[in-house]
Amino acid sequence: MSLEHFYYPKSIAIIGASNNPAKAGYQIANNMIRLGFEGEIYFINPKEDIIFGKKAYDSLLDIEGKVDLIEIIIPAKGVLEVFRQAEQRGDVRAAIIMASGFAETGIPENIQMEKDMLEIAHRAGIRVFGPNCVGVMNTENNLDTTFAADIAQRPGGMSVISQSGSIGAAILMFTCDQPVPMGFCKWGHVGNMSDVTTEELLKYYRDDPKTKVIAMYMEGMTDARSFFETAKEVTPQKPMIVLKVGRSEIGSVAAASHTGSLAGADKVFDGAFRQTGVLRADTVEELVDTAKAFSMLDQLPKGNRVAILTEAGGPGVISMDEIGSHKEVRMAKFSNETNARLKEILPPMALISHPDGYVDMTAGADGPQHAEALEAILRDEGVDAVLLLSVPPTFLVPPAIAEAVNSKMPLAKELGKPVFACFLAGNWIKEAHIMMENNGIPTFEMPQRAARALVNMIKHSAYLRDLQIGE
Amino acid sequence: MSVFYNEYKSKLLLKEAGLPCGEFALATSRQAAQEAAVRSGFPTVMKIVSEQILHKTEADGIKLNIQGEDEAGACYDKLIENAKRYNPDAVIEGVYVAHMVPNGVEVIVGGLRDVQFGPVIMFGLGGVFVEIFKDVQFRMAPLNKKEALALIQSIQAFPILEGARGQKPVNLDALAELIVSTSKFMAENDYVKEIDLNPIICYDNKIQVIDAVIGID
Repeated sequence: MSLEHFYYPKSIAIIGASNNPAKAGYQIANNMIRLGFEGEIYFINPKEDIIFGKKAYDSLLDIEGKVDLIEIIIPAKGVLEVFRQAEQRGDVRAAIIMASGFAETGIPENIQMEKDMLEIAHRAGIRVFGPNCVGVMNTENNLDTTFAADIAQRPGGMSVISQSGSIGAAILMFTCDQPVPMGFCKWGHVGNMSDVTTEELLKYYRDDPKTKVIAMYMEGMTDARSFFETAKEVTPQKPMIVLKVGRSEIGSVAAASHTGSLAGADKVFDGAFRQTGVLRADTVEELVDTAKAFSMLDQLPKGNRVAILTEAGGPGVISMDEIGSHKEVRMAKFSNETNARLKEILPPMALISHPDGYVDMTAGADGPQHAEALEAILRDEGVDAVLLLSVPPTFLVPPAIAEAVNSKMPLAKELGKPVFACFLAGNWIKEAHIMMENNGIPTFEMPQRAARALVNMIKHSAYLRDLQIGE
Repeated sequence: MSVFYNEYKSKLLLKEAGLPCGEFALATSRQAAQEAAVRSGFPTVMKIVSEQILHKTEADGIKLNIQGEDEAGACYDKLIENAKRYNPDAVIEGVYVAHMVPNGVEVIVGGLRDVQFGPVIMFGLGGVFVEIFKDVQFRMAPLNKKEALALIQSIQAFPILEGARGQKPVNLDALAELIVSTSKFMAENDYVKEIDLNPIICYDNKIQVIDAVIGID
């Protein structure tokens, strides 16, 4: 059975909805109402009559309309009774359990309670997210079963799998905190995975036509082999970026051999990422930056040759350091014609192809010179992508540069060459970043972050090209 | 706790699985050792074979560069004597005898059965690269040849295999084949818990497994 009833429920019943702002049951109800979920919402709390202006029911059995999805916010001891009621109703297809206190505690009666819950769920045809999870979000129907704060629901191409509800929420907060909020598509936190697993969620996103790129926060895997086998099927269709943290006891059991002593958990995960074409991010920033680039752009770089066009030396060198530390990527080498053309366009003190693929226009370059230099580089057949950097001084108004650069974006798109940008910094360049993002140029807060996101995109495109070559 | 097959038994299994282990023999008497040494061609290498002696160097259980029949006989006696002194309880199965191959680029290939990933394969350069820099990479087994080549290329020290500083490049094709065979061996034999092929010596025209240990459940 697919996860459709979690992400596209026609109706949801929230068991434990509350009028007390200090409770999760209030915040969840608030999110659903505030966002305007496109479906029926039923609140259940026997102690209340009205919640957020809606009738509060005493129990699941009192709801006359159909119920697709139930979200259970009450403590663990009340969960079984809710499942019995759901079975009695016969229409519930999906359940999200927020409480912890089940099998993960290792206490026999709690283990039994989870077993009993799953038995009813199985009998009644109910799929389960959790326990110990905050559930799902979907920007298509304004669904949000979490109590995450300050997340604007804006449609985008990225779908998120998170093994931490809080980091998962933080990722979405960062998606809002962009020059042009990048939005997201779907989001899921499966908690203790008594039924639905991260792997099943991954498969759901793979088949979801709205999901363009999959971002994941990973702490550990109970069946890593199977997950990565699925990942291997996903990456030829959609890019996958994973922030993997933590360690396991792998290797320690077999440390008698040389191989065993070298096999830290992370080393094996790292190999699996490379083998299956999954991009590995080191930080939340890299995860979001990379997902943003994929979600904004429809075209991947056709090769691995990067040109850096900068108005200032510092950010140029910082980004070159990043490019230089990935052997999958290299600096472009311009043709003689391009070099001559750049010399003609730019101020006399500009550094051209020094080193290869690097142009420091200097602060003397005005808006039109930015635009013409960008065009010359884009037209060079030895260039696959361009990194545009600037620290606009007082006499260069950032929006004017952005406008000049934007004028070359139709050409960049026609040639299929992505342009990534980083202007420094803060409020001074905010408007320019917004203007560029609205024209298909992903922008980043720091030069190395722009470079890293571009490197990741190039790695993915190289992986796809390599697949086509065959075995 | 793993049980380890001795080098002789491990190599017999690996040879059967298609790995280039060269010609080798197990001698259980002085005379047999001398005959095997002559057959192998000098220089010859001899090593003690015992499940209880995994670290042969520590037990003074290796004789290199043996040049003739008399020396081979003396080495056999010495190896047996050293082993008995090192571990009086060790069951000595005999002495391994093989032709001694010239120096080349040393690499290590390992296999491991991991709780989360199942069979995995490790590759790296031998010596300081593995001991100090831990410049090794892992992949899930089995691997196809393309994946094996990508694995070889993914280590930091790859330029050495390509023939850095005027050296001849090593036979990457044979190395990739060996990784594929080892990964299949790991994937197809559930009883195998771990494998160490350390070192494997690589030349421009061929490669050969020099030492091998298989750990079983």
